Amino acid sequence: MIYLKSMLNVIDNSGAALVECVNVLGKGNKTAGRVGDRIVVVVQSIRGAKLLAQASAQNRVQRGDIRHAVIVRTKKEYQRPDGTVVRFDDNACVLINKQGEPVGTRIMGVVARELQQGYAKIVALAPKVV
Amino acid sequence: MSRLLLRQPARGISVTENCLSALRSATVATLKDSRQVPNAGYQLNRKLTKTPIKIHHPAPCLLPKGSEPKQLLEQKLISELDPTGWRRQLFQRSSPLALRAGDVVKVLFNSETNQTFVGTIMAIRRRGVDTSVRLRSEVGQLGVEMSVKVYSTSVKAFEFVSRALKKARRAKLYYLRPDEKKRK
Repeated sequence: MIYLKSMLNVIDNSGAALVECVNVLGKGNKTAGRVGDRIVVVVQSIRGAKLLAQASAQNRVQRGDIRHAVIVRTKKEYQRPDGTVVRFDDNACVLINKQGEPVGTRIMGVVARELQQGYAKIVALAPKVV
Repeated sequence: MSRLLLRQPARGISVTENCLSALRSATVATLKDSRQVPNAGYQLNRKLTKTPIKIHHPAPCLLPKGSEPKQLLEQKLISELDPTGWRRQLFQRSSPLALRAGDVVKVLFNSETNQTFVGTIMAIRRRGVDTSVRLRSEVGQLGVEMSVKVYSTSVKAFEFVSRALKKARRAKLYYLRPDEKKRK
């Protein structure tokens, strides 16, 4: 359940570490964001210099930047069509551009299988999909 | 009895309980089977209303008398979803191979990607055909929990990996979740 003021971990190498959700796109008023939803975020903190070097200069993200992101993990459990209920220990997202492509080049951590529809590139980059 | 019918209002055609009981009491012979509705298949012609009221025959009872439909359905579903009985062997309390909280189990899903999930059993929620098992796994440094429906057709198999080192003193191991206060 991601909505205004929710803090999410960023699990790519775009440079951002922690972002704050500002808006959930494509949903009704006061409808919370779930895994696979697109959100607008404000970058609250960035990662150290080591990881920044890996991302391209164009994609480098600064503190205070407003970006789009896709939710890849939520702490709030959700149910799949076969009845399986999935829950992660944190809320996480991957920064994307307006076209829906990831800003970073690597993804560190687990992503949810629901991203297969629409964000196949992120699923391909992810080391583990649950 | 006719006086009772005449007093009924013209609109809102409905055969009320009072009306039916009045009809029943009006019949000459008393009926042995209370499920029989008198005048079923007939039409009441009321002088005040334009359209006649149909009294339908009651629907036939498809189950034997005294049977419990919900239990029968449950048994039917379980025998359909688990014909060989391996799911019952793993999750019924009385079974010798029964899984317990604390055991590590691998779930194999019926998917194209041959999805698997290995985790510790945190809880077994026993609800007949709706039985589900909550598994917890640390993927990297992140905890993931998955609640799998035991009788789901999308579950290919449950592989027993290892027994708990020490028998858990609890049925539900929610304490395995990280302490949020400590993390901050």
